[in-house]
Amino acid sequence: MKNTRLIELCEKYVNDCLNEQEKNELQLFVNASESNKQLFEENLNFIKELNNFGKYYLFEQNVKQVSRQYEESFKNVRKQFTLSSVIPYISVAAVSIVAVLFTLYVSGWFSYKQQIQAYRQLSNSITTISKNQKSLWNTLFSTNEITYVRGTAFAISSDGLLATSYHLVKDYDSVLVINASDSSVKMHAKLVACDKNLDIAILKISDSVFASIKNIPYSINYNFPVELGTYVYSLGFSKSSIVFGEGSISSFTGFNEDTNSIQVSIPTNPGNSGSPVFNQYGEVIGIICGKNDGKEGSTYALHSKVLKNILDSLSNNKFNRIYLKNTIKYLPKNKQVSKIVPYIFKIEIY
Amino acid sequence: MNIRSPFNDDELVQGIKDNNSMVISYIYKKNYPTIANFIRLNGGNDDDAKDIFQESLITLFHKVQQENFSLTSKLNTYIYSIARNLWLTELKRKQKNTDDINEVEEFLPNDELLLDDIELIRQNQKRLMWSLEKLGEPCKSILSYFYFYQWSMQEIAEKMGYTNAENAKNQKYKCLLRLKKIYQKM
Repeated sequence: MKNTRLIELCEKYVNDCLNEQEKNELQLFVNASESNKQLFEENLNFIKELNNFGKYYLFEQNVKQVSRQYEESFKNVRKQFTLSSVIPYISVAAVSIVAVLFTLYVSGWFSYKQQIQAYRQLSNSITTISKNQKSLWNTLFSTNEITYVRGTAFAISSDGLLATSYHLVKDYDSVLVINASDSSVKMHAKLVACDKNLDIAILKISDSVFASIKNIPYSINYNFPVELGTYVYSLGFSKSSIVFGEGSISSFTGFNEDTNSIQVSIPTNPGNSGSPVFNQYGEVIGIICGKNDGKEGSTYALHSKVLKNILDSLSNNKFNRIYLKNTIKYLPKNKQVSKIVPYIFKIEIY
Repeated sequence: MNIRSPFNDDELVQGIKDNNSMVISYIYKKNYPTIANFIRLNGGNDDDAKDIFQESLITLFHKVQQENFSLTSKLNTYIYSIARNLWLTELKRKQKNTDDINEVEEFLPNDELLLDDIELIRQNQKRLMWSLEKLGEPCKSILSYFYFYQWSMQEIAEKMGYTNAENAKNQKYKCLLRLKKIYQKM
């Protein structure tokens, strides 16, 4: 018998669809000699193996397909940053910049600026203060031109309440929070309480992927003694990753002698708004709300008693009273910080 | 912070059994970075990581087909353990040192995984795959359409441009014989 015929019959045998005539033909062949029988069994095994391999083959193809898609998703991201995609815009940008500089020069803007600066350095009058206030305001709201505002928030309850500054979330329609320890997940949050005058807001994570925030390690100290020189530190997102800053309480009152806030000597930048201020025991004692551009080292932090007031107003109706247990009180500073970091959130407001 | 997963482990195992692309894609995204990290830390490159990870998923597919299969740990841990095992085998094969391995995550011991049988089967399957590649066209297409994608001879004849199913069938048996020869020679 020809080999092709044999393998055909073998396959039919495996699939159990031999007719009588074919059965006899195969029987004769197998019984003819020992080597024939061996060949027959070899064929059977091979066909079975091939049949069996099917689902594994399909799975392997599927995995390879997924792998390709996974890699392409990264390639697309990289593509955005190649030089060739930027070149067409460079010439346009260069022409615009030259035009703007020329206009400014002709209109005498540069000399005007110099006069203003000299004036600021020399005087310490009410005008300077109002200018300082204006620049403070500008720092806080200068992000209007770009597409989103970035700031910091921190967790204050296990069901997803976060505290932050009100000026960040005002006037915007979408608030996204990103955890410091897992930056791949952006979650939606909504405003549940705020005080415009005191510049404080409470957000609640309202995203479907959010389950809970467990074991918040720090507590909030609502009536700590305000003593000059008390060591304080803060964690915030003045760039896209978290930044630690430390200093001391430097004044009893905040901007324009505001008694609801204190002045601390922590270096801060835009994006630090809403950062918690901790004392050496890992207790929250304030929330950074702004700084005075005209004065060095003057960052203002909202006193935690303000937080208490707004949380009390919440607990009366919707939420249970917030109680946090401090588990890092006696840890060294670096250990405290690493425990706290997972509970600090970057917020992006669109 | 806890993130709720869209699938639980039982659903993922079922998804692998069903060869569900969405589940595979999810598992790929969740587990690949850890395993790539492990392999890079222990003397491999990105291509090694890709190969090992794909092989781990296929091994897992074999594993879940077994009748007595049950998950003794989290699925992530399980996949990591398989990949770790495969990479150590690979290192041993290259006769490299496997004494000080940088661990990335906790893992199951090898005697709990029982991968030896699967490794044997995989060797045969890889041999078969390689033989199929060596066979070339049109045999490769005919055989894979028939045996893997389960097309009928009529469909194959149309797709491959044979005048009728009978011709395609004869061609298929010739291909099968050749495949067997290559496979046995290796």
